[in-house]
Amino acid sequence: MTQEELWERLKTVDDPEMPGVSIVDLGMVVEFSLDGDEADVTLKPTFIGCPGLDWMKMRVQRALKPLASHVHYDMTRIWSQEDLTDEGREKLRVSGIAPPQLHSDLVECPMCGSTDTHRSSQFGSTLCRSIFYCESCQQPFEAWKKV
Amino acid sequence: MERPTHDQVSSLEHLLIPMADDEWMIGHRGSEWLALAPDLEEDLALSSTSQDEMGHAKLLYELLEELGQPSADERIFSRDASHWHHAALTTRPRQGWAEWSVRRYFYEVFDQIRRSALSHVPYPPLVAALRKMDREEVYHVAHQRSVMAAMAYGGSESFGYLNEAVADVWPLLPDLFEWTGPDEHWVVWDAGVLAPSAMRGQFEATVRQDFHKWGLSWPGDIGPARREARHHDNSAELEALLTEMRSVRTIAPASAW
Repeated sequence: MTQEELWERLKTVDDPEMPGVSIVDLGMVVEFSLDGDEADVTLKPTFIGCPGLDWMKMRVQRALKPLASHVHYDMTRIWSQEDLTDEGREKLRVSGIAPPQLHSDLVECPMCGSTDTHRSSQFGSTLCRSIFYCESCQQPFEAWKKV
Repeated sequence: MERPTHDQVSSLEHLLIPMADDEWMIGHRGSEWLALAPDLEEDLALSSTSQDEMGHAKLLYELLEELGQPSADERIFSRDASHWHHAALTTRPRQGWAEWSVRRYFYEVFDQIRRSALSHVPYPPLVAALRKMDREEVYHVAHQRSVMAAMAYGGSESFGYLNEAVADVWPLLPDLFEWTGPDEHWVVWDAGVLAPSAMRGQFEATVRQDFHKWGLSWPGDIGPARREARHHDNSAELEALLTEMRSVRTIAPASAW
């Protein structure tokens, strides 16, 4: 397996709480190395208590087979919205989750694009999301929590 | 920094175990409120904050594990009740919603001050962990303040519940500021902010300011800690909590978590 193939396989591992959005899209891959039949992959969690961590680790190991892979999390490595890739931001928006704006506190409705929105709950259905309401299309939606 | 000395590892354990145990227990008790909270937003908040706290506890246990200490699983599932060092405030059994909200507010304010004090300990993995936790905890403190404000400004009935709860929780506060073991355990780091008295002063100043804003009167000095602060020998209440917390694990000891 080449480095490029390995990278492509990492892109097939999705966040279980956001099917279709991969660990590469989320910018969770810190580094990886390939040595013959063995690979080392270091990931970082978006949120420390994320319940999907073990599952994603297992899926990385499965995706890299038949390589023997050592996958570990660097738990203290900071993850921030800057780590999301452009592709990841677009995938979040398409799945109805507003990606965080990097240079503004405005939150854009993933359905109609309006910024006439307000937060109705700091906490959402997962650790990484808040709940918002769009005044323009009058729909509730979730937004990625800025950290 | 080179690998910590034996004394420094021992000091880290005495500083971090109380914190990790607090985080674990407040997360555990928080999870017991799921589906019982008064509205959906609070249910979501409890689900997120409890998972955050338990994740933080696990990370702190793992920092110690890297230094040759027992693993998070051993600490959580096998440790004898007499070796847990959380503050009593974190484990009081569920009573009313106002009581829990006030307890949680005090805990979040204290926890913020403690994280900031511990970040002066020159052990890079701990400093990095605290920095990452801070980004999540910002939401906790803000949320608990908003719950307190809602009760303070919600009319005479909710203000009454708030006052009652403050008086009820106040005697639990002193134990928060105790570390386990003798003072040398924090003195070894030469960081005065780790002194319980320093943290107590900061806590009082912050809470006084909030109380003033909410129209709550100051209940009086936070008294001295109990002799048995952060020790729970022969506590039937803790035994019951541990038995329930470990019940699934006991049924299936080899299951993956």
